[in-house]
Amino acid sequence: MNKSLKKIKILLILIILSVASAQINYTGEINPFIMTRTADQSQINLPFRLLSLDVGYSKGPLDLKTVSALEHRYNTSESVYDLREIYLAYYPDWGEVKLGKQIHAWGSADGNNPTDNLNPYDYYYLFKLGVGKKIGVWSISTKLYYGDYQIEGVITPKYEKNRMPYGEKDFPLALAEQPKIEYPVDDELEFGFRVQTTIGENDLGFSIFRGNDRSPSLAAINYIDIQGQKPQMIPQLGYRTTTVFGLDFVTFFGDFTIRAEGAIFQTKTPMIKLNLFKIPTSLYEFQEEVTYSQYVFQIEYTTSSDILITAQLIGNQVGSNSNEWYHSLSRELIEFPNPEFHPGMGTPFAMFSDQVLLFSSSGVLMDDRLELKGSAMLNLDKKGTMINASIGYSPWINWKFELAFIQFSGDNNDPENAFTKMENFSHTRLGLFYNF
Amino acid sequence: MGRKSQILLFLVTNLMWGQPTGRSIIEKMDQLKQPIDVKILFKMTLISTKNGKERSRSRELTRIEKKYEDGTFKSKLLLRFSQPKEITGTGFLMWDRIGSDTDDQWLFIPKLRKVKRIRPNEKNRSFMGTDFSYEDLSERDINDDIYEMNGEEISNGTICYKVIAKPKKKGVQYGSRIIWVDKQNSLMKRVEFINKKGELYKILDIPEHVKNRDYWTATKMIMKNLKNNHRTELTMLNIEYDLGLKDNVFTERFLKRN
Repeated sequence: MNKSLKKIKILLILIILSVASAQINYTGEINPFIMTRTADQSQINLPFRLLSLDVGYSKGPLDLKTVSALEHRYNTSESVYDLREIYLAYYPDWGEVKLGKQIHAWGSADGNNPTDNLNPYDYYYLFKLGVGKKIGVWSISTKLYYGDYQIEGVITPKYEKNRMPYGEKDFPLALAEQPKIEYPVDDELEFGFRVQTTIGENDLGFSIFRGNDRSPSLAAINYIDIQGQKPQMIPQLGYRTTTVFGLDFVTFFGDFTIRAEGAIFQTKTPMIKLNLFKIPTSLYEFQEEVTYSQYVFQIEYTTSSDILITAQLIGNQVGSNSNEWYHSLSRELIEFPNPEFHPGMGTPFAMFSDQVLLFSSSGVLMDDRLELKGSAMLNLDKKGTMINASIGYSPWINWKFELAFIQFSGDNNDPENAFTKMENFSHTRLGLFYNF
Repeated sequence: MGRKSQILLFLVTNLMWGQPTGRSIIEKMDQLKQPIDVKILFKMTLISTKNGKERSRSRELTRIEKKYEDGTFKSKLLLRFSQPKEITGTGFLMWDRIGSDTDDQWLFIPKLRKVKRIRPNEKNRSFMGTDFSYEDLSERDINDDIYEMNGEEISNGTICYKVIAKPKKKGVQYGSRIIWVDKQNSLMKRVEFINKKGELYKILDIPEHVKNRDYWTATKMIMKNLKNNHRTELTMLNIEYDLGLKDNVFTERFLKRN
């Protein structure tokens, strides 16, 4: 007994000594805000990150990082703790190895990256900058630095899907209720590989990723036809398997910086695994194989007064699309109407349109006290615009008040247009930031 | 030759040989013993003056720099912000190549979790809204300028040589610099930046130096922008020399590790 106690004491002393010699650092942000709908001045009730906290623990070549948030919603006064990332990072001389729940960042463009599909998106935070709109995935990643080359590999054993708002009256693109997924992902393993090199003043990257769609798609239909009643078609959802080939580059042209990336997605409905003894006789499977592409072409320019002006052309295009319906038992092909194709991966802005032009600019004045940001998104495919402007004022260091305004305009004759649906989401946001 | 003429000739010759040239003054300053690497924590205060009232805003950052003698790089520099908290972890990496007109520069923004390569010809732009340009942060090669001695003058309470430095090549933000070099210790005390129109637009004052071990360090630097009545003050809070920093400190990998 005494011996065990002694061992525990020694272990505790070793842990304390180890912690004492390590470096602990933290940063955080408290950001309460209210959103008021432009149309009727009513409050928009959606969850938001009231508190964000990043804690790091470093000792020699090892880091332990956690990124967490406290998500709050006003109407229910609910607060949920979200451990967004927790990973161990090892930095040997040749590169880095990270293990745990983490957010990766691939691609060269700012904010919209079709080549970056390692993490699902949190659609509640679609308009957040950078990694704020992504969801961490349990993964192991390694990056090797060799001369002008960076070689990176990521393996994700556990699948994660996008977080979509369901049943949210205040988010116009939300579905009424969470759809039932009849066919969850069977092979959860996902992996990616990326090589980046520097040629002169240009950076060039190539990547491959194989994983499962982050949003569900139609996998089958249960066709119930009872005599004397109207036939019922009950859609059954699953996730397609997608392979992404990406290319990205950064180059400089005079005073302009050009960042561009493009990705080709090869997506396929996986074979449905059915219980041989319980296959419904009325089940019709949908098999589709689609090749589509997404691209972002970004030009940025910084004025002499440090105002950054950026223009992005974001596009989404379906190439080949082959699909067929067949009966699950007889495997006989059936003539059913083909549903519209929706990408299950790629940049979230593809859900708004097949081609958008995004202008943004930002700058600071009065020695960082005043921050001005503005952006405009133009739908080039159909009618639609989004205008966003914000003004931030920081009277004291680490404190900032922000007033933001977002306005969507769609097409009154096209109620299905995403911009038309979002019109009612136009709002003014008043918030406070405190960083510590 | 009369006795008077002999004395005059002696004085002129003596003055000619005794007075150092502009280049020799800068060479002597350049030859001051410098550490191989250095890590400095400093406070950067931006001060604006309007209607006689001063308003200031401070940032805190660490500067890690290593000098090279391997023929490829002149120096490598890493800057990391720790205050204000909103930009904690934001980092800047610069590789200064020997014989190259442009540097390689990268910026790391934690919210994007990406290292962004910055256009190299942004050297003449303001560094993060300060009165220092990216170019001011990098050391100029002694052979990049032509020097001309311009007398002596007191600057920051010290008798200094005044040297005019004019860039040999085009593409530099200023037309010339007037450099005040402390006569006794060969320390840079003041630099006046003159634009290509011949107008004085920026003044760098270095009022304080301390000697730690064998090294002289400027503990305070004030860059005044005369066009907008604005200045940036750098105050050293902590300094460490010759830490034996490895090359991998000056990489994208380390830049991301905040």
